[in-house]
Amino acid sequence: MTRRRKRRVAKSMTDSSFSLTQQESNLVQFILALGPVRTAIEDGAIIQFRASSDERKNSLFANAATIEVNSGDAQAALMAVQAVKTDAPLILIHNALQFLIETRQFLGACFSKLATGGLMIVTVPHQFLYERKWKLPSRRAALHRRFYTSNTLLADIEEAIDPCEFRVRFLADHDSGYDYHAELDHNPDGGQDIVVVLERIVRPAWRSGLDHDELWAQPATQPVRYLEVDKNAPVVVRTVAPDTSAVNRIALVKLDHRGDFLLAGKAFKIFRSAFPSAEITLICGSWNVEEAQKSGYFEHVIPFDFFPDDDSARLKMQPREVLVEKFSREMSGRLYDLAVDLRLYDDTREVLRVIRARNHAGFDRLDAFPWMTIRLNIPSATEDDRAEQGVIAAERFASSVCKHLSYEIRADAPYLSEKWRSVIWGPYRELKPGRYQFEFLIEPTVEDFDAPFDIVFDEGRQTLLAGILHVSRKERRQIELEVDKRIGGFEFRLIGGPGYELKPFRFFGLKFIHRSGIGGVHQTEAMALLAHLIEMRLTDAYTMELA
Amino acid sequence: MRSQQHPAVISPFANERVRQWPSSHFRELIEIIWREHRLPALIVGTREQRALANDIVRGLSSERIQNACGSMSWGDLVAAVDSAPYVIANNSGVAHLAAGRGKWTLCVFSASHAYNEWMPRGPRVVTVVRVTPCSPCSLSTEFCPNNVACMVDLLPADVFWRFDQARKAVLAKSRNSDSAPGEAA
Repeated sequence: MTRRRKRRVAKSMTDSSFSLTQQESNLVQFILALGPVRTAIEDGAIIQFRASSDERKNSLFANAATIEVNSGDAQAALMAVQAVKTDAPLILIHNALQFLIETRQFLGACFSKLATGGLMIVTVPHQFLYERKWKLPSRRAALHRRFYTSNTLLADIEEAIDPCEFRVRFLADHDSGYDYHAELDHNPDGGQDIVVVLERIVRPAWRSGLDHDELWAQPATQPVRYLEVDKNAPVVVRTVAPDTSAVNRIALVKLDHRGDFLLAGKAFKIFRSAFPSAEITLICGSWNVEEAQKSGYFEHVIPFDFFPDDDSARLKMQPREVLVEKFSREMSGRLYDLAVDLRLYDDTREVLRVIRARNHAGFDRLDAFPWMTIRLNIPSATEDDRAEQGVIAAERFASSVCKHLSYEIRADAPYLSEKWRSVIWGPYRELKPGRYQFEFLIEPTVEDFDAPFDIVFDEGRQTLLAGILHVSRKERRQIELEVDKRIGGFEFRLIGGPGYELKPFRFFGLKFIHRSGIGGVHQTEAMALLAHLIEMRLTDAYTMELA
Repeated sequence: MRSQQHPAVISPFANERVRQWPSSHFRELIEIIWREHRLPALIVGTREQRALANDIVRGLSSERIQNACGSMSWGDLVAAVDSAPYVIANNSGVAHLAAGRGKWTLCVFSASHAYNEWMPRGPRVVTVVRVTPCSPCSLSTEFCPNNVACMVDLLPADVFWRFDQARKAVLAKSRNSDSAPGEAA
């Protein structure tokens, strides 16, 4: 642009005859005081967007191409912006945003028309200079849809425009000449705007990396514990959603004896209360029928003698498969929403399975019944924490240096190793939580000696116990071991190494005693827990897997 | 926001990033919700999550989609959840809040955790989870070597369809039964 042309533009920008109000003239001067903005205005074409609701129909700058956008129609406003050519050097959005029904897409579209290095100037009335009000409606302009502070204006801009694509070059509350003494019902003189100037910058190359940052993924650079996902395998999606089928018919199975039936009273009560309108059928031993009918919990009681009434009499019963087959025939044609076996032990689950029901529920201590839809894995103190003893025979152990017969591992000659190494190892059996007493069944055949040993698991990575075993003719060493969790396979190792010459010996195995911790829950509690679990699954959560 | 309808509450964040559905998926879901249900959306989160929420709403109409991250108290959030037609969240506190308050809740569940152990529970909850062989991985500070396939491959259209079908089924049932769980939705 020639110097003469620049002078002409500058004159038109400040020409008072260009029908600007005093406040608008002040704002123009305020904007032109910004060096880079003035240069841009002098050098390039200005595109000004004006809201149709704005009563002031003029432009701030005489050389601006002014485009009116529809305040009440977001799509029309967007179309007006989209019609503008790209690579604009300067875009002015003056006194418009507060009128528009939609601003995010509008601002984004305006910015997209800006050239790299171009400037976008946004001015809006200040909430606490112009509006002077906490919230809408405006006391001065009925068509204002929102109030702005510099904070909320920038927040809207950051929502609309990628913060990696612009820089704020100027932000100010324009209050020059503002009359702070003016009463709320007066219109004060002076500047009342917020002015923000954005410069469009080149989108940095690292911008796309920000998105990947959030994905929380990284290629594995070393073997990891995670299983691999086959990228070509079909995507399987599961939906857990409310069950639209109500629970109207329930079958409860309680086949054991009188005492067991009485212990289930609390659970029966929970079922009755959880499903008040359901028809509940109890299947129980014939000896419990009268008590069941009197309880008032059940609409129907079906007798089924799966066990003998008096176990102590040891009466001969029909084989269980015959009993189950007979029961299955009897139950054919009956369909339930829920069938529950209230016996903790597994032996009656085959009875439960032949009952046709949408949901089967019961105890599953050993994860043995995946066909049940509701399973409670609860240990039995009696079954799972029982006291027991036994001998783990020599055949369950291995040795690299000794003679291995079926019943013993035998060393006929002294053994001395320069390096530490296992001489006997095994048996890789499970240890249950509780207190163990081990006795090493090993005896010297010539003379007493000391040998290192340890008890480990997790392929030797974790040690339960280690020490020196005195192998003596007079007595066998016993050790106590407290196990606080289930261990899949423990390993006893008799070790040879520097300073420990193993004299000839015979090893017969390991004797163990496991003492119960007497833990777990009471049978009444266990059945009540199962009843509550079923209630939660079928009423509270009311969920089922769709696929 | 100009819409007279209460917005669907969208909570696109979680305490662990492996539990977050990609932002682009949330954005697409918001568009589907508008197209299919004509519902505005309210994005909720903390002040620190606002910038990322901006990335979700950018280019979407401010008339319909509001980013409220950092601007709501917990009480405000509860009120927004209570008045929402439904709530969409990852495996996060907002999902449990909505489920517990009996609201229709779509939980987009990362397979990093066992869904049967941690999914939100309630009479109007729909949980969608992709089944992967690596699940549950219990991954927390480590990065996922499988490109978070359990979330990335869970596509918005499919997730929406599953939620919509389950919700419609309950609503249809509730029209015929006083005791069905979806009656007040």
